[in-house]
Amino acid sequence: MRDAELAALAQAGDREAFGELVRRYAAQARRVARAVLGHAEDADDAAQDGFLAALRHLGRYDPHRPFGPWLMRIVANAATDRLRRRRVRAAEPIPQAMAAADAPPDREADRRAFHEALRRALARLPERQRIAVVLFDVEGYTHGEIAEVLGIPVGTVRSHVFHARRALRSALAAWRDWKEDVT
Amino acid sequence: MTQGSPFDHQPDAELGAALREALAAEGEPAFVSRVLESATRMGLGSGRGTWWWVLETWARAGVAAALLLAAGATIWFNKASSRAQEATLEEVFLATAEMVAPSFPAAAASAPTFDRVLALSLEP
Repeated sequence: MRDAELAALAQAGDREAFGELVRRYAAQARRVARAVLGHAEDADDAAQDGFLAALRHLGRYDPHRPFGPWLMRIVANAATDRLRRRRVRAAEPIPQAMAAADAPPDREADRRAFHEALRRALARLPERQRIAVVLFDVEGYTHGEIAEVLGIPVGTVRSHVFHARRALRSALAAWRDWKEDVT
Repeated sequence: MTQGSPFDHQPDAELGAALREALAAEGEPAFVSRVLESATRMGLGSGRGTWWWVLETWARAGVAAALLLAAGATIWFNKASSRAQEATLEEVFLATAEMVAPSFPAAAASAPTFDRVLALSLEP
């Protein structure tokens, strides 16, 4: 069943239809929220806020347009709101170090360290760049769809993706250099 | 990871895969259940969307429209009746004269005398 049909059923109160939409977009929503917030549990809270806000506002969804960008806009806003509240509380500063100096030598630990380095590099980017690069390179959204999600011009999205990629690539190159020096 | 440009329309598969893994979260079924539980607490699936809920919604709109219509009709009626009460003395006399006067000039072959007009006007 198409997203728009599921959305119509969910709006009419069909729990199963809403459940199917959540299942379809859960992974994507959690990744986008995590790109904004960094912290996995906060990201899940934000993704949940996003799904519930979407449920409340399903009447505003235009069934002729794709559901994903509409939902991701809500999720990204929920994550950004949560990030602002967290900043106000001045909790948990983002660590600046690229990787821990005592990274264990086994492969699984390497993979974790690599992911940690990537998340830290992502965390240093401005919010919109984070969302743009994740939606473009991970979720496969077009520049136009991302522009819709972020409410900014397509040209700005291109610029965000370009700068985010450049920063992430150089951060990862630095991490790899460091790794080679250590081993 | 390839070097891109702002005009690059293609996703960077390698960077994308790395980010996907880095941002992946565990426990998706638990997350879905949690969202559905919250949605249920919000009222999802508790009568909303059933035929009687839809009818109730329509009925609410219908009652509101009927109330609005009744209020409009009442205001219009009040205005109309107050306008009738505010008719000038001249209008009342004119209306009365029109009711009384046509009986004789139309029936008579010649113009009525003053006495006749006065007599007709005073008749009960």
